[in-house]
Amino acid sequence: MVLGVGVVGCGGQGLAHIERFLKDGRVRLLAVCDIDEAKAKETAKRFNVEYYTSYEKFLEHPNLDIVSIATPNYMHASQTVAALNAGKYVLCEKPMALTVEDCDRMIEASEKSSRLLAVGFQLRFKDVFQKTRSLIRELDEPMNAYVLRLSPNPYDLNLEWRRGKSLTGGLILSMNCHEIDMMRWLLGEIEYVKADLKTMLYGNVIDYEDNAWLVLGFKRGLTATLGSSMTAHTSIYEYTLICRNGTIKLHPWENKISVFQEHTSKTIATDKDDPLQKEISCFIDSVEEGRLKQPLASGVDGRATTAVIKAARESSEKGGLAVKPRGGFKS
Amino acid sequence: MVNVGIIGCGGIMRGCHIPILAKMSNVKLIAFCDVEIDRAKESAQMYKANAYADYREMLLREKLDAVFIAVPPYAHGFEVEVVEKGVHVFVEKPVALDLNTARRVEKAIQRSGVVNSVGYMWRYLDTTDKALEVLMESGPVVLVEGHYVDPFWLPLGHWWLSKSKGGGQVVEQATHVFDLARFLTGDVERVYAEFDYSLIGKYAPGSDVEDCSITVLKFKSGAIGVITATCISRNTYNFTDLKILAEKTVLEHGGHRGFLRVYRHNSIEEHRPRVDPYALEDEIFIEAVKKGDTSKIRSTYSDAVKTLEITLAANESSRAHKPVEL
Ligand SMILES: NC(=O)c1ccc[n+]([C@@H]2O[C@H](COP(=O)([O-])OP(=O)(O)OC[C@H]3O[C@@H](n4cnc5c(N)ncnc54)[C@H](O)[C@@H]3O)[C@@H](O)[C@H]2O)c1
Ligand SMILES: NC(=O)c1ccc[n+]([C@@H]2O[C@H](COP(=O)([O-])OP(=O)(O)OC[C@H]3O[C@@H](n4cnc5c(N)ncnc54)[C@H](O)[C@@H]3O)[C@@H](O)[C@H]2O)c1
Repeated sequence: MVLGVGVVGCGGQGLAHIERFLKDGRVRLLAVCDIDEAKAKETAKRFNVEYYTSYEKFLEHPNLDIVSIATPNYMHASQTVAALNAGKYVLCEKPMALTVEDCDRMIEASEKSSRLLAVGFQLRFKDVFQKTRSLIRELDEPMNAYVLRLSPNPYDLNLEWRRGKSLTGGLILSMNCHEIDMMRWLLGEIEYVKADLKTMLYGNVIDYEDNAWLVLGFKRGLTATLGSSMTAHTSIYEYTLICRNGTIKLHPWENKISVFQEHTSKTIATDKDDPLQKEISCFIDSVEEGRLKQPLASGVDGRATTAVIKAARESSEKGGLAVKPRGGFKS
Repeated sequence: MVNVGIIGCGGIMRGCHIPILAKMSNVKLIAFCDVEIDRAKESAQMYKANAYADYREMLLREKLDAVFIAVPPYAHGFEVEVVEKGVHVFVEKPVALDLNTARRVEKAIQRSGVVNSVGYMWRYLDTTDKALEVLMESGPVVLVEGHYVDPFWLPLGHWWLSKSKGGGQVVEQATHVFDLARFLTGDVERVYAEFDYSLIGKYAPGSDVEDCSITVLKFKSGAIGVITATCISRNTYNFTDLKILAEKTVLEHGGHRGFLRVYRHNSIEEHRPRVDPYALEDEIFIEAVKKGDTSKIRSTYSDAVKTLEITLAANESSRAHKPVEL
């Protein structure tokens, strides 16, 4: 039986999902949903599928097994819970949700319906990060890490939902959830966060930070720093990981990893891959096998990241005090 | 103990060889010679040795095992008298400014059988060893590209700014790149060069050394190469290198910077030096003098004459606007 797929949110990322589901070839795209009727209609026409403007009606489609959620961040929680309750397997875009409580509700719905829930942290599927993960093991205990993600305004602030913290979760949730998830995936669980969040330039447009400084304390003992900006004049995205036997520097967008040792260094070119394709194919594998396959991010992973970011907000409000990302943590 | 005399107490000796030799437990610095006697005296005082203005007198009065020679290029040739006394010689590059002088010294060295070494220190880098090792598994070398890019920094009136004294940039400076190219890819059979002189006068009125040059090389192995040099670059753009494209790898030797990068299809490896090549060339020379085993010397006088021959041929070609066969 071919799995039926529906995608909600026909914006940039929704279309990217559709393309990857089609390219995988094992599933059938049956329906799309968007509150913007013109968008929904156009997308449906393009892919020759049904369209809905009502999410409730969309979920009533008889043959949908998988629902992919690519709507604005504030919609993720309620739409995911509804889809799971309707017996769908859900791939929800990052960030999982705006609050830890929402994440808990989503995890609970997944457990109750025994339907898989995965969160779209696609960087885990990028060759450059997968190679880095095994390099960290080879080079022994990481001692320090620096992550920088600086860009000219990465967001289309004409999209209304991008302008409000209550809709996006701010720069550190909407954007840097990728880095938090990646650091957790590479370095393990985060025990405390110290942060400073500032709005330096876009104060008249957005109500969240456009620059951020995070210090992350990990369970295994090391401390890492994450710097983030959406007010730079060039793009810098790099990770520096200092391990006992070598320092790793990676430039994800250039698919390059350098390893520095005392008298040698080596730069490796990794695959110019399509991580979203790998993520979606892995999600289909998971549905077929009935369990989440590595390295897909689970609901618990998604919640951990949202909890770290919540702790960062709290820390910044408290003038940079260390805050434990506990929130509604279960397990 | 090896008794060492110094001839030419200028920049490279004082900045490099003398302090290295002074630290070696099997070396005694017993005499210093410089036509500018004050320079010789200064070092002599520091190391409780004797000072001379004339090397002949030094050879006459001191019981020397070896001498280190670093004089301006035009001053060479007297090495004949040194080696005829059975004194071993370490000579800074370039060994001379013309082949007649160089060959006279070469013959005298051969007759006397003294240990001899020339200061092409890049040959002593462990990264150069690595380059040789990688080249063994790289297939044939096809293309060689080297640079000696320097900003203008010399004081007016310096011997370097006169071709009849220093030989010009190719003979005096870029010679390191030519020599490394020979060391890594073998001898050269044809040389064609174009030199530019149009801007040097703005930096040093009256100077007749080339300010820019390109020299095309045809190696006996079949490989082709080009070495570019300039002495009027910017402070922000100066480097030396030698790049070698072989069938399976591309190598980039950092010259003075010492590194070696090995480019393969999906990886770049960088090796940084673990040794001080100046110290190593001096230690190996002293060891050879002590033990009579010269097998570790990387740059003999005869070998250095071949490098001189290429750089002189480049000058000749640039004047004749024609390739020169060696
Ligand atoms: N994984 C990644 O690297 C990545 C990249 C880009 C975006 N995203 C995520 O994908 C999601 C969508 O981002 P985007 O860039 O495509 O945004 P977008 O604004 O281009 O698209 C969102 C679409 O959802 C529709 N929509 C809004 N509310 C809806 C509702 N209640 N029901 C149905 N449709 C609704 C909008 O009309 C719009 O077409 C966001 O959560 C974003 O964080 C992830
Ligand atoms: N291998 C290297 O990296 C390197 C670096 C610098 C210089 N060098 C070479 O070393 C040589 C000297 O360069 P330098 O920068 O030290 O020059 P310099 O002008 O600083 O020193 C040369 C010294 O030799 C003295 N001298 C001249 N004729 C003499 C003679 N007949 N007998 C005794 N002393 C005499 C001069 O008075 C002067 O003190 C040059 O051939 C140069 O190419 C090599």
